Amino acid sequence: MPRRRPGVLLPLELAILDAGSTMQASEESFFGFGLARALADRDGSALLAHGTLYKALNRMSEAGLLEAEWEAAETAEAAGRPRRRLYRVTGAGEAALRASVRPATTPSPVTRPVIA
Amino acid sequence: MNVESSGQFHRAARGVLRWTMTYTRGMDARIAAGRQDEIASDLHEHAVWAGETGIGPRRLAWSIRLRALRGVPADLVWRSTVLRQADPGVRLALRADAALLAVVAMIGVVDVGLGGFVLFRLVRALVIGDVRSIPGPAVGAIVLSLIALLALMAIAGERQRGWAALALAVPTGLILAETGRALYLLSASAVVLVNRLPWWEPATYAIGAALALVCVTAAIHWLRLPTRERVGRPVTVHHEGEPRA
Repeated sequence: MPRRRPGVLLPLELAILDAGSTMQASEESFFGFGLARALADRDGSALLAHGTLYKALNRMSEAGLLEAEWEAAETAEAAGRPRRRLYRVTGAGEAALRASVRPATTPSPVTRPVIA
Repeated sequence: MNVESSGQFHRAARGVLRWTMTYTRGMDARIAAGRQDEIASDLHEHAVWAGETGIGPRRLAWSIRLRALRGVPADLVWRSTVLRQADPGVRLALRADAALLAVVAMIGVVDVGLGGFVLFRLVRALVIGDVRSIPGPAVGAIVLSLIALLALMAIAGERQRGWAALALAVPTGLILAETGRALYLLSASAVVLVNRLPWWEPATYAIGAALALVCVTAAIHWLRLPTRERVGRPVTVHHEGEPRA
């Protein structure tokens, strides 16, 4: 299996950064299942597998693209649910997302249709 | 019906949490607890969402199991990544533990296989009329393999693994010789083989005793210390966020 080049983001990581940024804009942070739901709604696909989702979130946190923090126990208790691990897209994550989106949105002269 | 309190959801969630406990075994307690808490939260949120969107308990349980199953390769890769960053001594201890478990499980599978083969030959001999009554050694081999099967199933649970390995030592020590005696009465090929090899019985006892000794050694290893102490110092990864209560 080929090794991934450092600094290159996988499509899933880009999707997480994109969906996470959107969720973060309205709710300050996002959590695992909320993100899985947002990705499934966006792509019309099935919910992400537990292993795939949390492995990616863990890897992105280690890479500094996301920051993670456990929700306060009192908040979770008051809501009557287990604590959520809350994620936020960091500045580095936003920059990585912008950098990966830019080349795709800029039309390349090679791919531009030629009008005779 | 509330999907969160349904038995189907609880069974599926228990299965996923059990799997989470399995692949986080031997890791730093903070990392393991972090992943377990996150999965527990995910399962709860999934059930709440299912309740809100009108998804029934059966479909919810199916969806949870499917998500867990699809994520198994990623879980194993994650475990391997975390363990790679661990102390070499811890890695070695975990590998040795896994190797010992594989050896004992293999012995159990062989025991069960021998009993199964004897059962097959017995049924065949009865059907074609080779024997008119069930030979005692065949019953012995089948009973021993049933004990081995129970022990093999118990080995899967970490808590009773030591006792299960000890129980497995009994059929392991006897089943080879018992199988040989049973096949002598059920198979023409076995008769030829036994007559050619007069030392077969002491050999089967010797091999059985050696394999039983492996089981006893594993049992002592597993009974002596719980997993955490067996693998030495816990695995630590500095970047992993820890649960903040």
